Amino acid sequence: MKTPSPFSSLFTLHSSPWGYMSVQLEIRLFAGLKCNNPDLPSFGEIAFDLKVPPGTTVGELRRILAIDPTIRLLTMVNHHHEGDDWVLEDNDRIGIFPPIGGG
Amino acid sequence: MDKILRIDMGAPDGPKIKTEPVGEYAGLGGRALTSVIVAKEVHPLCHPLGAENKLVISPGMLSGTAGAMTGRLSVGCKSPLTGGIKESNAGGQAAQVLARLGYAAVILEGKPAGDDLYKIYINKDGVKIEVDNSLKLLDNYPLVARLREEYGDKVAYMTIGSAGERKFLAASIACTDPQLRPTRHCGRGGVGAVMGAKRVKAIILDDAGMKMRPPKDPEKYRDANRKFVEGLRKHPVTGEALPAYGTNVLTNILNEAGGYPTYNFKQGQFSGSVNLSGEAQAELEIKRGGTATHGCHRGCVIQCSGIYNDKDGHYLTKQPEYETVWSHGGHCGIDDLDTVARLDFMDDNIGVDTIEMGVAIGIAMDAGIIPFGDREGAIRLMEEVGQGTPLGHIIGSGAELTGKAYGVERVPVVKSQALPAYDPRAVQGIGVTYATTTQGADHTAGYAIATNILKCGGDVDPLKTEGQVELSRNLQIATAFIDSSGMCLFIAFAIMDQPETFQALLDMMNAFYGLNMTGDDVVALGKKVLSIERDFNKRAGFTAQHDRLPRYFSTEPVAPHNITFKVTDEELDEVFNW
Repeated sequence: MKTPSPFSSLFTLHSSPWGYMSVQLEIRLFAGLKCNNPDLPSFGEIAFDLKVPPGTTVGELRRILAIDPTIRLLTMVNHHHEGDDWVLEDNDRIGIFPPIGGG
Repeated sequence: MDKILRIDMGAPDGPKIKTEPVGEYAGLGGRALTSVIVAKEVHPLCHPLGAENKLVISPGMLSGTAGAMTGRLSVGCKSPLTGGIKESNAGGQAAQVLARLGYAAVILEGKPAGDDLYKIYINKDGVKIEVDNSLKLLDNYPLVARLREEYGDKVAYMTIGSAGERKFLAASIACTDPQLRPTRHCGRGGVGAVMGAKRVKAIILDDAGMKMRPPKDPEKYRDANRKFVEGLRKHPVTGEALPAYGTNVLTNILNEAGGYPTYNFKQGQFSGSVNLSGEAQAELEIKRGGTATHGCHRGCVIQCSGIYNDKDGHYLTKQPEYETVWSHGGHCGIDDLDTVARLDFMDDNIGVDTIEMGVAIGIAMDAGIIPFGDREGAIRLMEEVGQGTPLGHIIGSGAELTGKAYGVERVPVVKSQALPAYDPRAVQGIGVTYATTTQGADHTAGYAIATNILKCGGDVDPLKTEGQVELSRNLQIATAFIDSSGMCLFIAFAIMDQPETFQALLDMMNAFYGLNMTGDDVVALGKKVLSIERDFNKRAGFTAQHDRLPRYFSTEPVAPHNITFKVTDEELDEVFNW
């Protein structure tokens, strides 16, 4: 059974109450991560733009994308590592990674 | 591993074999043993291609046992590339087999007069050395194919390609994987040139009739190994990311972090990076009937290697590593995986360090020999290396020589060894390692990327100087230990984050040798190895001024962070202050 995301009503393209002051993000998901929220147009994708309400944090973005909460994520905002409390701003470029390594 | 095999290649009546008890070197293995022997027995001012240099081949302390991940082999000498002490290591089967044959080390000494080429066969009955000039200038793949006709498929091969015979400074020593592909290389520092200077083309290791090395306490060893493997499987890097994508999973994160050196370290991001990524590579490999999950030695549970087929499904090369994809890819402005794979095959076949070669080709591009991004041009330059043309000699001897020959101002080397795939301005911690390690610019010697970028074992901001000296110091010490243990270095991700997995490794060591090692003993051994290496380098003429990055890294910022390398000389000189 499909469980609607708590933010699902906010993201219908033509009816977002934040449409004129939402924050536009460029999102890239890596190493197997995908957008898991079926209510988003980007469901199943790894490279997409997304509008979010102003004040959305990195942690909240993770919940919007419905990424498995048990995975320890690494998030870069404009090429800087940022924690879950970081507030996202308009035109931010976000890269999200699960734990990876090499050398 | 209770004996040492010495082979005097320069004895007047032909190579002379001497087997002796391990003696004072008992209990040492891998890098600890190669560095102790080189520091003690090699004159620091000798010519690396001369008779006074020695090539010391040593399996790690736990190699040849039933333990997981124990396939690492160390090769040590005075490096013809850096002029300092060198330890270059590889996976593959050689460590396991040599250890089971009971050898703590094989030491090639002296240098024969004349042009004859030798192969050395070692089995349980002893050592046979023969001239075989029919092998002259064979590259590694046809060489191993030829040797298999004589020695079969149940052996491990260590070989040099034409590059080693020609004594190129980028020449490597190839070790075969379990499927007998010559794809696991002791790559850095020109160790293949030393083997070639001693006129040894191949070492064939046959452990038929030998058993796994028995632990002092087999039950405790089994138990510790089980916990160790559980830890590796549980950790998301060793248990998921590396088996799924291999090391090239790093392309996207380094690019995102702005630390992916592009067009010879001119910028920190490459527009073609997604085409080169580990994710794209794994998808392509699987689609073409290869694999992204393969172990380079028996006993590997991380399985970070793979098989890369061409578009028709035929074997092209082993899965290229991150460093190789970068050096032939973004560093050169090439965004095509098939080109990178072709170059990787040529590196393995000719027998050269993929990092040194890729950086040298990028320098050639900066010099205008070919343009950046020229795929066919890069392949042509590699062909010249394989043919031993004059230009091939220059490029095959690495980035610094190529840069000097063509008047290139910005040549990314430390102690004459090319920088690997991380810009030190965007990742300050790896810059400290590059500058200060005894090995020349080397990323594995103290892999600060783990903590700067991957947030493994802690979190140190890559763009600030705070904490970088301590980070590099601690990693260099820990790595010197792991390089001696026989363990693949990638266990570090799990043991850094999971104390119980680190304890399991200690328990394995203690159960095998009947010791009571603690974390303090790990640190003590690591420090001892580094101190011995530093002392050799000092006697070889190195000073604090050699522990520096090229000046332009401190004066020229790199995008997107517009940042320079900011760790001071005084801070760099603190790394080894114990």
